[in-house]
Amino acid sequence: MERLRASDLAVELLENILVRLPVKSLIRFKCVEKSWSSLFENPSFIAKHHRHSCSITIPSFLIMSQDDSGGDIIILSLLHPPHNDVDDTQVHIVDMNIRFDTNLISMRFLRSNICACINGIICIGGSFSADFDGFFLWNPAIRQYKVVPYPTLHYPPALHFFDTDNNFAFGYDNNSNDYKVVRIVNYGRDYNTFVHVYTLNTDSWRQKIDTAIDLSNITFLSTCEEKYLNGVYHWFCILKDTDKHGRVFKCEVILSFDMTKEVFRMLSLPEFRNVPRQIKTFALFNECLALIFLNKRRTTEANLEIWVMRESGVQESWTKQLVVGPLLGIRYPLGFAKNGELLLLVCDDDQTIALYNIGSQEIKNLQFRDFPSSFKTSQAISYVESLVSFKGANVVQY
Amino acid sequence: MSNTSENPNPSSSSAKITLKTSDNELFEVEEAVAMKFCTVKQYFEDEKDNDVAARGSSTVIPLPNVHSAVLARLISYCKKLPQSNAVADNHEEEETKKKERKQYGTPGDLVDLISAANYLDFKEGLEFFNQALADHIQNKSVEYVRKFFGIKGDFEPHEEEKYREEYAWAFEGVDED
Repeated sequence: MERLRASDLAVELLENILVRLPVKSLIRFKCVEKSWSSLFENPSFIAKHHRHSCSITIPSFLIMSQDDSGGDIIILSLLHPPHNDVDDTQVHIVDMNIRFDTNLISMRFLRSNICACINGIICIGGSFSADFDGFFLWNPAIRQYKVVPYPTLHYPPALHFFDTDNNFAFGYDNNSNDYKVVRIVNYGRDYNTFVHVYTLNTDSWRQKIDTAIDLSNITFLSTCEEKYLNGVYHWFCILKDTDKHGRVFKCEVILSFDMTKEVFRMLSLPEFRNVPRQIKTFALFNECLALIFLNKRRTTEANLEIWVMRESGVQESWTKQLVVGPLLGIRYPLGFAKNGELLLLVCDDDQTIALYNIGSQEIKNLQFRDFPSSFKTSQAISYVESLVSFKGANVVQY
Repeated sequence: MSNTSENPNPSSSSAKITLKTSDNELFEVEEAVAMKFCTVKQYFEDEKDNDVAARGSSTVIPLPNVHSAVLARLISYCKKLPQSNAVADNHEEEETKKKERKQYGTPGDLVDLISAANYLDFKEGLEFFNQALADHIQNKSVEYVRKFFGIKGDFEPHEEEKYREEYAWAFEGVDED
């Protein structure tokens, strides 16, 4: 029989094989030939590669841990499958603004803000130091990051930098195929709120004047209470408003920002819950926005109530999907790992993250690196590697 | 000579279709298996439209681009029907699937299988064998890949050297050729 050779494979067949390779292999194979190098930089190949990776790989988790002892260091680490070890990289907590390592980043924040992950790009925003105010886009798979300073704002007189409420969102606009970062600076009720939008394609900021809703009555809750889903970013907020009798009241709401339309919206929680500060977290459930409420019953026992917004942005579609538990020793729900598996933070001195399978009711502890005990894990986001790279100013390859 | 697909119960009346390979071998396969190949399905349905009476074992579908050795492998793959295109739930499962993908022959065999699966428009098989070949080359060196795909390489030596220095981490942990 006349054998085919690999060189006889048609270009599109070859592409379908290459799209299945891990990022590290593709970076190596860029020097096979110039046409391979340009193929791996082609946006449609990059998108196809990421879609494929999402469909076949077990996602890793980006874990965010904060120093609870009053320090201002945050550690982000990537927990890779098989979930029993991060990597042999060591934790470096260093007294500098930021340090990137293979799968690990540690940094000092004056005020930590968020991290979000889209298409393998991790965005970290916050106030890092008095000298540098900006955010980072980081692709650990290709070992590249980009630093973007925030637009300069002139603080109203008599207000200190620390008196401002800085908030931040990272998202992807499907229409323009562009990554966007939104920065919201709130000086309190007596002042205006400033909203700026950064787009990666233009590598620049522009001010957004019309925000559709008045943001000055809104206080953003602490970090890690946020979620990006299908082009819309969500935060937990406190709305301060007056009722028809002129009485001031406060309630918890969800504020969302649509990355394509660039508009804010306000949504209520599933049902009026007079349980202020109840532990809850955003999650994704079957591609829908979900909320997981932690109902502590006794000191160690808790139920998890999962509410799903069946139709995006439709208040009435909140549905109580399921109740899980009672479970013992749960500190905090972190979200869903895959359908049917909940990612939980366990109450113990080590930073143990556990996977709970709702179907089989099995709980499995994932081994986690030994952080100093003052570090508390607060967020876990699923991460799938990609080839997306950055252009423009301040791009660093390490 | 005729290869008959095994049927433990010959009296069962599942319809058979005969496929004729490039080296003129005849394969009698169950209709359910043959219909996985969209090219065959299309041919079969066109035939049916043209002449209702022709339906049945008398239909011989020629596959001038597929060799008997390759078709035999494809049919055996169809019978085992590995669930390998689905997402692995955990690492052990992923390893099992990798081993399973390794059973379908040498990288050269995989090239034949990919090409045949493409010609037959057999999507599931194409994905499976593409992944098997990707598994094979993912930890290989640039030199191995060039040789395998018959590529000369068109970077200037100093360009390539510079790239390898800059991205040294991507060249670590590469398997022996």
